[in-house]
This record gives sequence, structure tokens and C-alpha cells, in this order.
Amino acid sequence: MNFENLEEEALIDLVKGGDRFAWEYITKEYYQAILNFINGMVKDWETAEELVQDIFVNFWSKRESLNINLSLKAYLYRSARNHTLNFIKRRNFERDYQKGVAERMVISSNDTEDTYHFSELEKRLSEAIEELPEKMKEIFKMSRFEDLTYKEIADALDIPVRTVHYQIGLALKQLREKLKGHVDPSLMALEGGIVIGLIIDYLLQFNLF
Amino acid sequence: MDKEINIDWTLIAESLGGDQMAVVKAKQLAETDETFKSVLSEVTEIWIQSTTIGQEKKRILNASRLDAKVNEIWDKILEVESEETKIATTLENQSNEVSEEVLDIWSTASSLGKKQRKDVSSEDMDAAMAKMLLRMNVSAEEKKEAPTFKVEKNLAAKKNNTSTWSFPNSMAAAVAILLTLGLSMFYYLDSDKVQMLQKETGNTTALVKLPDGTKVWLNKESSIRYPESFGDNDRVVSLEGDAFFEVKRDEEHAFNIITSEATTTVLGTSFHLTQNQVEVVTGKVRFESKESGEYVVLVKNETGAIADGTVSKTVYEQELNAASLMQTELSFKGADLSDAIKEIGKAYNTSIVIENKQLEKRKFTGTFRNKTLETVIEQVSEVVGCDTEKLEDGTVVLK
Repeated sequence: MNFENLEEEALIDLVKGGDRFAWEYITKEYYQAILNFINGMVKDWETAEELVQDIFVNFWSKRESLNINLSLKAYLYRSARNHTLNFIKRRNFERDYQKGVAERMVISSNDTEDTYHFSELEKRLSEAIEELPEKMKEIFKMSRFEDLTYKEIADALDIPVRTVHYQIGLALKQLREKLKGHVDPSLMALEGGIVIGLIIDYLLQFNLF
Repeated sequence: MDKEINIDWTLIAESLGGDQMAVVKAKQLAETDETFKSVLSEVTEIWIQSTTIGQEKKRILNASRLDAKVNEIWDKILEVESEETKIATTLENQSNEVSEEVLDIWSTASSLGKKQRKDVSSEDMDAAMAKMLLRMNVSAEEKKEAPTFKVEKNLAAKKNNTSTWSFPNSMAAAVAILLTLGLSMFYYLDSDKVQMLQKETGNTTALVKLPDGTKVWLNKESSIRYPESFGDNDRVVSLEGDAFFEVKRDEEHAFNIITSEATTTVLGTSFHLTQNQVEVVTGKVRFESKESGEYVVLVKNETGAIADGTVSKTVYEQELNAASLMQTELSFKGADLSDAIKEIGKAYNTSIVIENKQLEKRKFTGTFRNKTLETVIEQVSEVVGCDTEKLEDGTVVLK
């Protein structure tokens, strides 16, 4: 069967009906994206791999009770996020209360930025992003790193689209302030202030349609 | 505006994620802004269109169009509502440089994200698929309380009520398979014309890709023989030890695996096969005793086993542990300790013996993930309540 030409809902219906090949098709389609998304949260490829496999295995084993009223993409991101947050919670709990257990998870060090070749600006930006408030950071990353639309982010996080708008606008504002002097020195003479509307226009243009 | 304006506020509210503040704002805007009104009307229209088709889910078809429109609404609402936006709109015409600066951040962030990404190679994807398929099977099994079917002997005789082999002329097909199998055996295993390949594993597992695209995850201490090319005959391979098969579907050429005790015939499925047992993960498998010619047809979650020429079928309660092929996970549910020990020994390539015969029939349940042999043994002995000793040659003894 050629799954490429199927509507998403038809594909989901096939999975619900127990079509393992439809499941395989979906899994191959989204595996890499979700793996990277989870790794962004846990910063450990091995763990990310286990978690991403949980997601797709659950997608199969819960297929009969599957109730996807979001887009499949948003649904998968949402499950991935929830599952990973739970995992992190459990892990932190174990860390706090089972100190001394030899099997404590160690965050692998080869995932630090050093392994990537970042430009000066990228390094600073990366730091600045990490300093953003949690929620803002998460939304900003989902938009930039995962290429999700505002709608998809909103669905995945179960928040209104407006919040996504706001948070990204605010994130850009903060990032710009933090990066003053690093983006392009020739521009620094301009006391700009905030350009959210413009950005939103830009975002809408490229990211939403 | 020649188009009819028809706005359903309930639907608009729903499309805005139930954000009442936004709805109020939208209502205000709609009073004065004709363009905005038409957008609202379009959204309403898309909704109604989709739902009148019958199913709510038809909405997905129009999802991208709807998304675009809903975002237009959001844009408008936010434009008037947000403080930042107000400032922004005044800035908009003021300087391109500032906007470039932000665009710079925007695109840099994007490349930052790309650099931290990892591409999944097709080998990695295959391995991941195999792991997931195994787990899918395992977790399906965990859910069911897996009643053991009464072991039925001589299933061949009462074929009709035992399974639904999908061939219309199943008997004829079975005979045909047997005949071709014999011929193919002759061709493949005893002929010099076809180049035979062999893959053997020591104490690691290996993924073997056969010429027809079939994938075989070979367990430790196992080997598989297969021709360089299957040609136009049935596909025949022989197996020693055990392996997990994902057979490429080919209705024209049945896939046959010969082990010391059984001949297993399939069209395209995945299953775990040892010398005298098969555990079906997907599809349908015909499992036949070489000694007696007796056979069973197995489907998902069924295990076939051969003992003294008799073939039996059970819905499995204790997995054959296909999972351990690709990952260091061992899981037992009410398994005899002697069987569990066998599996553990195999997984860690260690010989483990039970000295106290009373222990052998003890039931064992437990899961080990990425544990060292020492940990596993320690936990087993704790659960079972026995002592352990490690001999000089590495053999572990349970007392």
C-alpha cells in the first residue's frame, strides 16, 4: 500500500485498525524529529532513543483507544513532551532520594556545545536561550529548533496560540537585548526598542502558512 | 464585500482555543473592520463545510487552510491588544536594520537548532524498528493475561477449527510448498551451482540482510546459511541457534527456514525462531516438524513448539525473549527457573547451572534491563532464595 497519498486521518484509521505497516510509515516519518526533540530535553542520545521508542510503541499499543483531535504531528510532540517530562521528574526523584545508587544516570558529556562548531554568535545565542525563562525557552526552541508552527506548538503544549505568540515575541525581545553588541556592531547605533509586530509578520509569513 | 458574511461565534471561540478574551476582542474588531469580518466568516464557513460532510474529523482536511485563517485572526487580535505590538508597528517603518538584527537572531537560532540535530541513518532506523516491533509484541503480551491453550496434538488433522490459513486451497498449497521445499533444498543446499553464504555469530548478535530484503537478527552462537541469490524459486535458508526474522513479503516465493527439527514456511512476517520453537510477532507462519510432517499454522502472539515430532501451539505466556536479541533486556513471567537461567546464560554467554534440583521448577518473574550478570544473578538468587557461587572457569552455580 502506498501510504504517501493517504490523508493523515486515513493513516491513523489504518493504525487503529491494526495495520502495522501504516504504523511503520508514521514512525519512520516522525522518528528522527521526535528523537531530536527529546534529546533537546534530556541531552543524552541514548536516553532520547529509549524515550522516542516508548512514544511509538505506545502509539501502537494504545491504538484502539487513540483519540487524536490534534494533528498527528502535534499529538506526537505532545506525547513526547509529556513522556519526557515524566521521565525527567522520575530521574530527578531518583537522584534526590537514591544517592549512592551506582546506576545513577550520568548526562553524557559529548553532547555539550563543544562538539558542534558554533560561531561566536551561535554560542552567545545558545547561552542566551538557555537563560530564558523555562516556558519561554521551551516555546522558542520548539519554534526554532523543531520548525513547528504556532498552532502545532500550542496544540503540543495545550496552551492558546496567543501565548505562543506572546512568548516568542518576548523571547526575541530578551534575546536581542542580551545579544546587544554581538549581532552586528554596525547596527548598534540604532536604539531600536522592540520590533515584535514586525517579527510576528515575518514569522507568520514563513512559519505559519 | 460581495461575499455573504456569516459568523458563528461558538465556532470562532472554539477555533481560538476557547480563549474568551480573544473572542471579546474579535467581536469588537468585527464591528469596525470589514476585512476582519470576512476572515471570521471564512473560518466559520470552513468549519461548517467540514462538519456537514459528516465526520468531525473531516476538519483535518481543511486544517492547514483553517490554521492559516485562525492565525490571521490571532494576528489581528494581538495587533490591537498587545503593548509590544503597538510599539512594534510604529517601529515597523522606521528601520530595516533593527528588523534585520532580529531576523539575524531568528535565523541564527534556526541554524543553532540544526547543528544540534542528529540524522537517523537507515541502519539505525532498522535497528530501532526491530526493537520497537519486539516491544510492541512484548507489551501486547503483558496486557493480556495470556491463557495457555490446551496443547493440541495432531493439529494437521483438525485443521479447520484451529486456524485460518489464508490460502484458498490450503491443502494443495501446503503440498505444493512441501514439494518445492524438497526441490529447493536440493537446489540450494546440495548444489554447487548456487553460491552459499554463511553468517555466524560468536558472542555478539548480528543483523543479516538476505538478498530478497529479509532481515535476520541472529542471536549469539547462531548461524544462518543462505544462497547469494534466491533466483526464481522459493526462498530457503537454514538456521542453527536462533534468530528473529522479518521476512520480506513475496506471495510468489514462500520463505522457508530449516532447523534441526522444524521447517518453517512464511510469506512475509516477523517472528522469533529457535531450533524447535517459533514465536510469531506479525503475520502467519506455517511450522512443521521434520520428523513427523505434522504442522500448525500460527498467527500473532502464538508460539509453536516441537517435542518428539509432535507440534503444539500455545498463546505464549512466557516470551521466548526475542527482545534480548537486540537489546540487553531480559524479561520473565512465571518462567521455570531452569528456563530463565538458560536464557540468562545465553544472553551473557555464561554457563549457569542449578545444583539444587528443587530449584529448577521454581517460577520466576522479573525484568532486567542493562544489568550486569552479577546484578542479575544476585537478584535471581534473592528472589528464589538460594546461594550462588562462581567457579574458576566462570560458571555460576545456584545452590
